Amino acid sequence: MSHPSEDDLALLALGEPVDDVDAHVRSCAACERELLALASTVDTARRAELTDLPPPPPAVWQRIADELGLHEPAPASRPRRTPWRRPLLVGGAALLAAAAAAVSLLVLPLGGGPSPATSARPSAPLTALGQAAATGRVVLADGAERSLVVDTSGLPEADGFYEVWLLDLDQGRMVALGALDDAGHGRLTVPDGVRLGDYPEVDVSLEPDDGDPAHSGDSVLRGRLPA
Amino acid sequence: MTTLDARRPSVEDDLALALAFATGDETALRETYDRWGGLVHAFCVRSLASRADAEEATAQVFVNAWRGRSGFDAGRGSLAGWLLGIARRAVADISAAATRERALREALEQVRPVEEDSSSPDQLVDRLLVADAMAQLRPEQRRAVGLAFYDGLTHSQVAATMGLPLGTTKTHIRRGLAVLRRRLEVDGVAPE
Repeated sequence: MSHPSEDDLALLALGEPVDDVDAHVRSCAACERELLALASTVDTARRAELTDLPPPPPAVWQRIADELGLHEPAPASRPRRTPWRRPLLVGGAALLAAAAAAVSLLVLPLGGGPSPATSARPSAPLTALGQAAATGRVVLADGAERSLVVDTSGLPEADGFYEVWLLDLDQGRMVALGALDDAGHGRLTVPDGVRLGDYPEVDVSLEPDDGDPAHSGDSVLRGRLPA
Repeated sequence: MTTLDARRPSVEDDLALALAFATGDETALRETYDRWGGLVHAFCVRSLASRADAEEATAQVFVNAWRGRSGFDAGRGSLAGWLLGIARRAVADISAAATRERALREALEQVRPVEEDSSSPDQLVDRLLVADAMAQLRPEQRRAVGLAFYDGLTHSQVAATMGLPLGTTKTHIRRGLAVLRRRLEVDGVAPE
C-alpha cells in the first residue's frame, strides 16, 4: 500500500476523514510521525490569535530611543569648542586587543527596500593610532552633510566611553560630536554653525567618566573627513 | 475575492530587513520595531501582569536586540524568532523580580496569590510565530487555510466557498500548513 499524498496528510491533520488512508497511517511509523508533526502545527495555529497585533504605545519607542541615544542632540546646546588643553597623544593608553576584521559600512543593497544605501555616501576610513588594532569608518550620512555615521571595530571595552570629535589641527580647534554606543557605532549630528570644511579630521578618543568635557588626549582612531 | 492588505510584507522583505538590522543600519532598527513591535509587545502583555511591566519589557527587548545584533545569524532563523527569544528572557527577568516582590508582599500581608495565565511562554512564542507566518501567506492561500483551520470547513466546503477547484484548494491547505510547520521548526521553542 502506498503512502497517502501530502495533500491527504494535511487534511487528516485538520481532522478531516480521508478514505482508505486511516489503516495505512495507523500501521506506518513514518506517516504517523508526519501526521503528528502536522497535527501539532494545526493545534498551535488554532490557538494562535490572528487579529492584527497593535503596535506598542509611543512611549515604548521613546524609551528605546532614549536608552540607545538615537535622538538628535538638542539644538540649544552649543558646540564645545575646547581650547587645546593638552597635546593630542598618539597611541595614548594603547589597550587595544587582537585585531578584528575591518568593518565596512557598505549596507547591503536592498532591492526596493526603503533603507538608504549608505554605500553611495562619501565615506573614509579611520585608522588606529599607535599599536592599535581597531579600525573604523566615517560616512557622511545625509545630503545636507549635517549627519555623520561612525562605525568601528576592535575598540576594546574600557572604563569610560569613546567620543567622536571634529578636529582642525592647523588652528588647534575641535568640536565634540557625541559618544559611540556600546557597539562602537554612532550617528552624530554636526551642530548648527559648524562648517565641516573648517574641520578636516575626525577623531575618536577614549574619555574617562569624570565629567570633564575636554578631550582626554587619548585618541584611538583618526581619519580625514570624506570629500 | 477578499480584499487584503497590499503592503503584506514578503519573506524576502523580512530577510532584507534582518540583514540590514544586523549590519547596524539604524533605519532598519526603526523598521524592525515597526514590523515586529506589535508581536513582541503582544508576547510581553500576555506574559506579564502589568501593562507598565509589559511596556518596559518590550523596550528592553529592542534595546538588547540592537546592542546584541552581532549575535543574530540570519542563516539560523528569522529575526522575529530571535526577537521573541530575547523577549522571553526579558519577561523572565521582570517576572522574577515581580515574583520576589509579590512573595515578599504576600508574606507580609498573607494575601492569597492570584492565578496567572498558565500557558507556557514557549507555547505563546509558537502561537505568535504562527500568527506572524499566517500573515505572510499569499492571500488566496491564507484565506483557504483560514477557512479550513478556523471555520472548520472541509476542503470541499472551502473549495465551494472560494469558488476554486478541489485540487487547488487541497494544494493551498497543504502548502499553507507546510509554511507554518517550517516556521515552527526553524524558530519554534515548545517541545512537540
